[in-house]
Amino acid sequence: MGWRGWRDSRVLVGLVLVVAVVAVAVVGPWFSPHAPDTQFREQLLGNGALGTRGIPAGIGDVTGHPLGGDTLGRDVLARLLHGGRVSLTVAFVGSLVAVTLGLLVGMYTGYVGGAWDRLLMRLVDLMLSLPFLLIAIAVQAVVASSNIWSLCIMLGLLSWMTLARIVRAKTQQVKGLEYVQAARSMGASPVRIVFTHVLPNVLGPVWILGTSLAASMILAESALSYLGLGVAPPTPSWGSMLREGQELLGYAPRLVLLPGLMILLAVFGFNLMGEGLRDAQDPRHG
Amino acid sequence: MSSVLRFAVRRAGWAMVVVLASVTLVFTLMYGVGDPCVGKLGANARPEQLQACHVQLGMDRPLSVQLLGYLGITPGPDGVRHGLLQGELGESLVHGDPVTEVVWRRLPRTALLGGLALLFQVVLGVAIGVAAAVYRGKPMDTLLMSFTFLMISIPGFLLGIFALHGPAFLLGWFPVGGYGVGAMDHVRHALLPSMVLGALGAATYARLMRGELVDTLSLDHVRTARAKGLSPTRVLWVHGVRNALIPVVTLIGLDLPLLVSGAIVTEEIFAWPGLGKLALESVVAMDAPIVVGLVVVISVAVQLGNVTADLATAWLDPRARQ
Repeated sequence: MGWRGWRDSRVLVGLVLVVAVVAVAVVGPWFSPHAPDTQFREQLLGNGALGTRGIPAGIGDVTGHPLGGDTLGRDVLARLLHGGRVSLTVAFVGSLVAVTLGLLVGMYTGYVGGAWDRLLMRLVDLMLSLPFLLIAIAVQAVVASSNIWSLCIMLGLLSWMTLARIVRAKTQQVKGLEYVQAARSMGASPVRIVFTHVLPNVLGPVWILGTSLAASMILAESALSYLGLGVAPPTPSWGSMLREGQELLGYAPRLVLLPGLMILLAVFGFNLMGEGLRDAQDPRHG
Repeated sequence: MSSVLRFAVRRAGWAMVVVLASVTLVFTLMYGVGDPCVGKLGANARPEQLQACHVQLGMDRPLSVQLLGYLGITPGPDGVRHGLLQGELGESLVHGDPVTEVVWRRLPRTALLGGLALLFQVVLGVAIGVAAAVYRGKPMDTLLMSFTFLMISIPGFLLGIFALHGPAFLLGWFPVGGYGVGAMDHVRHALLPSMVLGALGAATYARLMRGELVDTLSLDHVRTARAKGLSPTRVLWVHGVRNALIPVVTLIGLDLPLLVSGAIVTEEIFAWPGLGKLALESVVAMDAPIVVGLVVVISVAVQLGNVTADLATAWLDPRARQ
């Protein structure tokens, strides 16, 4: 496939990847052979499977555990399937929070302007210069009952700024269009104009950015989990599986490779979709 | 020249606002939402122990008073002003060392790692971007852009883990983590982590550089230069790359917070005893004075970098002075 063909099929390939990963996360757990936190010490960590180094049973070593066990004797397939739920929930809900906030702020500041516009855009500048991960780990450490929802909200609250900027610019542009001015002169209320005329026009860039946001949310969640500040154990996530598996990288590389591959595929899929959508809208980028 | 000066003053004022806001946010998080005394005394501390600790740290006062005290505007619990304005950042709750001392000891290490990473990512990014733009539409372009796309999608820690295991541990090309002894040894230990950090960052620069260069090379004055018979190399570097570098300089400034985030993960993987690793350890231990002190130092450093990048852009491009 040439460069052209590849470029044109990126949205499709990305979509297929995203759908596949989402399917694994949504439907997967129902087909999971075991619970993600059940320990099978005897079968997966017993002497028969391991030899002497405390290496868990590997791929195909024990029937009923196709991908083997992890360092605590838990079924890797079950954890991969359940872990996807955490990563993708964060991706979707976190992006939803960011997109909603970015849309509201962007449309308000773009349409109304004035003092609030200046103030909120200053806030955007301000938040863009904060060290993201440093703030995120501080929040995760102090929020006493850190769960998946608080994680989504936090990541959303830290990621709406770029979207707000773009929506604002687009709103200002749409506001100046003749048919919008006509609607205004006919007495349509600002709320009506924003939702019937502005919103449909800004949705294009929002889809593009939302897709890239989902990718960066997956990366952020996995990084936090890798640092031990994500969703609390024993709930599995791809990032925390990687953290637990890395000490055995030399003996059981699949404990790092499998969750790593899932993260990579998900992020790759979302990014591919975002890039493809952007180029479809603005061919100049090619 | 005065427009540059006005620009510099305005820019410095904004930098102070950003630093103050970052400190306020993290101070509120650590002292208002979290409780440093729980970190100091452990989760099983008795209420009266916590109470005593709160009084000792001055946490029985309102949060705003505590913050003003931290900034050095109002006196602390002992009636003496010792805060940010006086150049004091307090002492660690875990080991009692002055925060300034701990941070100053580690700052050069992170500066070494971050500086090398920045060097790698700008040089590599610009090189890839120029090559892709020159070979636009050819297989080389596809190959380079696919590589940058992979780099954007790969989690930094995954790349770090494999770099540590492969080139360092299995092949023995690099030290397996750590900081080393002596200046040259520090640099040797910094090579692999900064290459990992730089490879991830380079992708963004490469894509920006390619886009800008493709746009610039199609501008009228470049076509004119070419038509006048200037050599293609000269047109590319003098008219193309020089102009396309302006947004790259801006990106360096905007990119610094990201470099800090990258350093937290990379330092953890490579056991590099810098500010990032300190941040993670102190956050987990709820060592509030260190965490807030780190935010002061990191946000000042990021703002200094930002201001420098902005001034460089203003110097390169008069339109940016507005």
